[in-house]
Amino acid sequence: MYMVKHALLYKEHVPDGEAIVFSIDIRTGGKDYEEFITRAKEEGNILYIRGKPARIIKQGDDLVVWCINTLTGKQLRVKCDMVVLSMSMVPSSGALDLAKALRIHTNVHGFFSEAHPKLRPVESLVPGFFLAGTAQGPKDIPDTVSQASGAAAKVLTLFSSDEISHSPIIACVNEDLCSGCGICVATCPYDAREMDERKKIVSVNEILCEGCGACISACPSGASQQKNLTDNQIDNMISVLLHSNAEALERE
Amino acid sequence: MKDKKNLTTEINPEIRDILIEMGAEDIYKCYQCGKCTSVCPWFQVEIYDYPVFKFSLETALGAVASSEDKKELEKEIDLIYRCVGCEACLDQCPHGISTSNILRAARRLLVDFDSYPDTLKSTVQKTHNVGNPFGEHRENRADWAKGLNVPDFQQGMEYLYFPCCLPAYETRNQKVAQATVGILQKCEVSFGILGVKETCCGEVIRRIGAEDIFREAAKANIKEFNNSGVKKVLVTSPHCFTTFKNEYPDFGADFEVLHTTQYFSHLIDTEKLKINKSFNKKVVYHDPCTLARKNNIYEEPRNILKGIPGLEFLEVENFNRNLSLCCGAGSGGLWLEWEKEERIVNVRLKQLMDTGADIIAVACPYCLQMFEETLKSMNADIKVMDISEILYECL
Ligand code: SF4
Ligand code: SF4
Ligand code: SF4
Ligand code: SF4
Repeated sequence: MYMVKHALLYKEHVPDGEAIVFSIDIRTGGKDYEEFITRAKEEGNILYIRGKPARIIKQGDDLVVWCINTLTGKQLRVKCDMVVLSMSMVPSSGALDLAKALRIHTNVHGFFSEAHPKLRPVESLVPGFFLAGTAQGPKDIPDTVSQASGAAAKVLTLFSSDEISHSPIIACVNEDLCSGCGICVATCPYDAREMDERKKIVSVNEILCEGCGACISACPSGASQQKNLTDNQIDNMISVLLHSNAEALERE
Repeated sequence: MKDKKNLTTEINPEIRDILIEMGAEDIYKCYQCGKCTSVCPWFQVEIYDYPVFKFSLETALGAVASSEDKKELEKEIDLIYRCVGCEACLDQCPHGISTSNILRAARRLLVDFDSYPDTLKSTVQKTHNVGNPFGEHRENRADWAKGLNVPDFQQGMEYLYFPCCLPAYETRNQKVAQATVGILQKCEVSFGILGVKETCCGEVIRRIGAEDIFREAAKANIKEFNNSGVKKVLVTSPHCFTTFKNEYPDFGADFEVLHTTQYFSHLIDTEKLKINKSFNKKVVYHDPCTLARKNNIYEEPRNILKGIPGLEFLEVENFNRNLSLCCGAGSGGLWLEWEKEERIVNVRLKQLMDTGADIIAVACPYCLQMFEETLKSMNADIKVMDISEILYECL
């Protein structure tokens, strides 16, 4: 898409120059974009050729692009003064480090993942971090502006109340059982746990804890538990469930 | 009715399914980008448009090798047999499609119906009858080795040297086999030949589409190799190389295969082979498709040439290594005649001559044959030599 714009800009600056775009599939994802391309072809006098160039050969001062027009099957050897490669967009080089530092998930291509593509498109899974622009995926300016406006609104919502509400299911440590092994500190993906080096006992930062439960499975002493969802409570729930199922079966 | 036929491409699922069965399963991967077409050697023949990119789609529609009209079918046969199997298209295709395999499926169908070029029919027939594509007598197969003291292969020998039909029978190419055994003898390698017991590796006829006869040849060779206790085979031809290495295992072969350039390069590296004389010539190397693109052997031939004192090594600009242009002899091309202005070999020779070299070095008997034949009519001041010949001269 952006190469259409570049081609048009070029034609504006060099009206008697010739711009040729080689492409195989043009995807115009957005309102009025198809019209934009049509305008480029018709008014901008930009030549579109369907075919992927195979080689660019230097011949004296010229570059020769080898290609075929797949619509006519004809061989093309196009002499050019300059060849611009239209590259795909990739995350910036530091993006992965940033994602790691903020504990934000990334997709296979390294773009930041939103919490939910439809319902929470500008939030990350880490509370307090919001996404906007090309960090989240290839985007043009209008899309970036809309997403950034959404993210700003979300930030304002966060600051508009005096209190932050938080899920009550968070981790806690039974100090009598904690052996101070520190396994949970390394396990916690949100840095919510801290070792008291003097007491050799771990404590939980209740604001940071997301209640993911990783520390609970990791704790070898059973000291780490989730409030309102302790092992004990879960065991009881299971046995009640099994019991009532057994009763129902008996009745049948 | 006739008009209608020309206007609409009839979709023929039956032929499509047969071709998929015969090895054209990649057709659906093609997204019609056309890259294959401009790297195909036929692109270099400017007056001729070879529609490589269309074959996948047309096969998917069942519109390849399917015309009922005789004239139309002839046109299709012409297209299907132009492919020289160089795999330049596969090398550049974003989806890894080998158009030569798709066309081979079409060729198999044509061979089944006996509708393929007559010259190729005779090639197939000769291979079937006497075990070589030239129709030479089987008992003359070891004539090239006369007076050279080349032993017959026996159990316990390390290498079987398998020269390929061209060096076995064709006078110019025989020199390559002779130089090769010369080098091997000089290095005191334990090797022997099977001579009259050899059969053509069958690469050419398989690519022409004669699958059944190829299998016969393959099985005959495998049986002979197994009976003689062959463990390692040394070959001159990249075509034998790829067939033995990549295709024979499907029929139960279990032996190691080495191309002479690989082995000689190894002998030089391990100092078993000493180069004593210099070769004061400008030499350009032509990468044979089957050795280079198909089997990734780029360095060994260059190692050998660059290690020869006095030799000035040249590359063809823009067309070397994986971008090398086919000599035009592959997949039956050696036996087919095209209009003079339409010959790939002329384009390639021009590229090679433009480097200003004295010698074109090749590592394939087909390239050697193709270049020699064409140069005869050109009265050019350039010679073609196999790497083995150059190396032998420098011992
Ligand atoms: S893993 Fe359990 S025992 Fe070990 S430090 Fe954490 S809470 Fe304490
Ligand atoms: S529940 Fe998850 S976020 Fe909370 S302390 Fe344990 S590991 Fe960390
Ligand atoms: S294998 Fe070579 S000759 Fe055949 S279609 Fe591909 S590029 Fe062309
Ligand atoms: S390069 Fe590959 S995908 Fe492109 S047209 Fe050729 S076969 Fe199809």
